[in-house]
Amino acid sequence: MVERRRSKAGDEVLLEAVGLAKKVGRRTLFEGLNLSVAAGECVRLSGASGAGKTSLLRLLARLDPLEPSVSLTLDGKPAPSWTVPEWRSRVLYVAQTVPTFPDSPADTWRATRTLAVYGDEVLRDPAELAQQWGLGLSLWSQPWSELSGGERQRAALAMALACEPWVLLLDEPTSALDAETALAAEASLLDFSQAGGGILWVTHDDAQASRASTRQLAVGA
Amino acid sequence: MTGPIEISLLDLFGVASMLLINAGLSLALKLGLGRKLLLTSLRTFGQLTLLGYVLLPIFETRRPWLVGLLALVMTAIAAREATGRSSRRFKGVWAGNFVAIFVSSLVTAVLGSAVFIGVEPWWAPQYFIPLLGMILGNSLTGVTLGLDSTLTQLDEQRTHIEWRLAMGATWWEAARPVVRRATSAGMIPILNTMSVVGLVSIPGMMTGQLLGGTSPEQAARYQILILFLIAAATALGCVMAVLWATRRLFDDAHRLRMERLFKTKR
Repeated sequence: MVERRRSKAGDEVLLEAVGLAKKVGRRTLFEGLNLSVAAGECVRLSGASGAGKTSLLRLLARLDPLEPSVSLTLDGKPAPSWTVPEWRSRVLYVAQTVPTFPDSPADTWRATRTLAVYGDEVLRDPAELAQQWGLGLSLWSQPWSELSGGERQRAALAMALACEPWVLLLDEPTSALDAETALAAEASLLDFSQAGGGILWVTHDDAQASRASTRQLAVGA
Repeated sequence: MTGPIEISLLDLFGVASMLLINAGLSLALKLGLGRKLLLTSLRTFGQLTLLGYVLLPIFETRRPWLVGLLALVMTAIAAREATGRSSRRFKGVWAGNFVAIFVSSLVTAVLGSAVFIGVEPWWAPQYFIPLLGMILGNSLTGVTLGLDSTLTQLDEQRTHIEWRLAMGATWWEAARPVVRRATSAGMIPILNTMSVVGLVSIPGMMTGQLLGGTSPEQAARYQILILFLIAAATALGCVMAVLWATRRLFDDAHRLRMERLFKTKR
């Protein structure tokens, strides 16, 4: 198994995609789309709602079938040379809505860090991370259903960061947070990219985007 | 002791009057079940009478191929029934149900007849057919409930499953909670039956044997034996159907392929 952690190397390309396309029925959302995310970058996906931003993130996480002509590489190695769980643990997608799991965030985290793909790695503690964004430690043992949208979003984002992926695919990661908390979360994302991670994200907050993003990529036919 | 008192056709018409209770209730509460009641009553009468006539030559001629043919037909009908009862379907569901019911029921029925009861020959229709029939009926329930739970969960908890996949779970790691719950859903009815049997209910087979003049002690032992066979068949059939359905709805790239699932109109 390949070592999951990587040493930081400024602006080295992590994720690269050539010829991405998405069709819904007969409608083409986008085609021939190329993109790359390098270490230290935070790329904002822009485009009208319905333009296919979420579809694009899902394709990159290999959650949806790709056209055979698409070339997808991570760290210079083509997608097929990674097992799919390996790929997803490094190119980690955080959906916009966190599902209401029947158990608590602590249980969900226990199930996550014991996944085969993480082997016996010691992952970071997401509870500690989320505490910096004002999420109390006691919330981790409460059922997801009792958490507010903002609390769920922070718990989910913290778990994603704790998995130490190379690239984070974030779909409106702070949409349910108040301005101050969103700033704190943003700071952690900045830490992540400065430590050699890459971020591809969707946000509707232009101020946030201009603060945190290093460049922008338009999606849409 | 002689055999049980004979029941004439006239007696059956008499007892059909009991269904007037259902008809009356349907009418009084406007349940609109009249048509369904009539049809299902006729089905019960027709199917069982037919079975009586089908079994007669099979019991008398004792030809193994006839026994095998009947077993196959019974299994096919059970698989069709299991497929028909589910509110959601996918391509290959019938084949999966058939194999699950066929393997689970046949293995346990053959073991029960040949090894545990020690019938000579093991396919002797008088033992094998009723044994298989009882096992099939229950395995069918296990398969139906397990399958329905699997498909409902996959459909309704798609975001949960995809979240786990996105965190790096394999299809099996992501589906394990679904499989676990579906399997227990399929096994609960037989476990419930086993826990109250003899206290609340006297099962059909034991009743039959008692009516036929078997000693209560022997009838009880037969019933225990059959219940254990049924429990094994239900578990086996349910797990097979659940695993098949789960595997079919994920692809080799650990993706959940919900477009393979479609709802039936019922």
